[in-house]
Amino acid sequence: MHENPTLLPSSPSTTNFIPNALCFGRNFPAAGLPCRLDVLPTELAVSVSESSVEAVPLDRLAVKSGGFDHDHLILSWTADGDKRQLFVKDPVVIASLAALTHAEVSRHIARSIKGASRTRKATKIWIWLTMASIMAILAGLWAASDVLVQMAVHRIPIEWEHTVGESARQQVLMGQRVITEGPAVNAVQNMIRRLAGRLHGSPYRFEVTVVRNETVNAMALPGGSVIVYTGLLKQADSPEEVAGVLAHELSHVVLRHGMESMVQSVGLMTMVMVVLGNQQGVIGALERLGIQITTLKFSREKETAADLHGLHLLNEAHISPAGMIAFFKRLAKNEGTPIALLSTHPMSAERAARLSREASSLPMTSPTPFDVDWTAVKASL
Amino acid sequence: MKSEILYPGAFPMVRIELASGESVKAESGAMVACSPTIDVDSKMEGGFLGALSRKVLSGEKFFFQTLRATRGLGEVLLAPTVPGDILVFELDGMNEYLVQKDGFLAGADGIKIESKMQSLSRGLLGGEGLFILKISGKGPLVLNSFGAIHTVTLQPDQEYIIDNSHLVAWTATTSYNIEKAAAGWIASLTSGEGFVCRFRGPGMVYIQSRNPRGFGSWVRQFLPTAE
Repeated sequence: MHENPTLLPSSPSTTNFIPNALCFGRNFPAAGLPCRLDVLPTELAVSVSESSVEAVPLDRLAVKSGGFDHDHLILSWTADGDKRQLFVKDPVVIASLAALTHAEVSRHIARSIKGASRTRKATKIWIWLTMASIMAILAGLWAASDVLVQMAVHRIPIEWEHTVGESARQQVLMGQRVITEGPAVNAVQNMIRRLAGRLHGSPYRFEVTVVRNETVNAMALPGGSVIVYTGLLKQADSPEEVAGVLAHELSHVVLRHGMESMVQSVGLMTMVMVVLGNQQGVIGALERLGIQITTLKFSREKETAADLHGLHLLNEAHISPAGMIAFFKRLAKNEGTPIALLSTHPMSAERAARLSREASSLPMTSPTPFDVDWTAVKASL
Repeated sequence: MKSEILYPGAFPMVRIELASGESVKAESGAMVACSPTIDVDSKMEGGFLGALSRKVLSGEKFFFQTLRATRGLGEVLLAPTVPGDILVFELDGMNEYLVQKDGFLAGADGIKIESKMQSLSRGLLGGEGLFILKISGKGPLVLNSFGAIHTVTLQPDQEYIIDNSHLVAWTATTSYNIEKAAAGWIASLTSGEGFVCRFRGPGMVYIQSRNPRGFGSWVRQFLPTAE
């Protein structure tokens, strides 16, 4: 290969031979021979070197546009039975060709230039249309992503939710002290039974685990596993307050909020895969993300939805919603203190007020109090 | 800048000698080894947006690296990712080359690289994607392929039909159309050829003897599947 310190020589060698076109023909290199084209009034002077000049009369010339971007002018003629082609891109040469007064040639050139610019314009329009439609599709997908998430989650079999929930449950319970019997376990199981009994036709099996932990927290995992911390039970003044939190958590499960958030976090492609039926492998991805579900924050809309669903659930189970509202109000006052339930469920006076409003519009049912000695339950912890 | 292809065949490398002050543009990650006189700096050819468009649109790596012999003469060893030939040729400043993404390995610093959008039918059916690289300028250009590189030379108006997955590069003086491999749609798809490119001269077309996509699906059958 040649040695060239700058690699961008401004003029080749010492001669005046500066190529401005590529010449093709039977005896020329396949990639074309750089040559020089000079436009004279009646003919073209084509030189492949300084000493060899071929004169091509304008009458023998055929003109068209071509090349990858339609930015080449192709001049063809026959010399000694050999078809020659000249590819010109240099705008100066094209301008001097267009300025020729030779009627036939200038008409061809004008037509070629017009044709080429039309093709280029059409290509540009196509490019813009393609870009615009891709943008529109992306925007549409963005706008419809919630619907897509729901569609995808709908396609996930309940057994998968159990698998995902179970792996999350094991992660949460790792290193925790589980209470398997006693008044607290009985009381919480009774609450879950009463609430779940009102969820007609629900495919979920709700199972509750009580964990000895001073953190004020409770969570319901996909598939129906419920985990209650003793810290929460100690904070509650009545069983209705605990039932209120549980109703809210069960609502997250029934509304499949956990699955939706997980699918959202694994991305659009997974959603598309699930919707299109290619569900293999998704379960693995979801399982790996299982632990995240326990620290997942739901959107404000999802929290509100779970609040309202929970409220209706309490009402149907004949549990007084006053406990739920009172408990939320009390937690709202504690905002700023490190209570785990608050970090995932931000409480606000506004939220309690909305619940009160909503509760007053519910059809009146006579609440049946829990048959449990709450003081004894708390004392047992 | 002098270059030499080492170990020609399936697993070649290219050794490039740079005089003091010379530099070479290479695909990022292509450098195998170099003299201590060589400085590596990554450079976004065509500015940030140009680099971004090349990355996003043509799938080409975001950065090219520039290897510069700042402290005296030195040498650089470069190798492509896939097994296959390396081809070095000289750009004369007149000819422009269109290169399928991944085909570019290295080039003299005076070579200009742009992303070009193809027409919709070529882009969607051609198999090289909607965007390809247009390489112009003067100096040596180093291409790499999957398998061996075969050169097809076309006289003016001579036609040749090439399976689109086997394209590496072609000169801008050639033109091509995408068409079905067989007369009917069913035959086109069942023949396993699908779409082909009908090239028309004059110019050169460089093709690779192996089809990366075909190789990919062949390998896939041996990969253990997730339970």
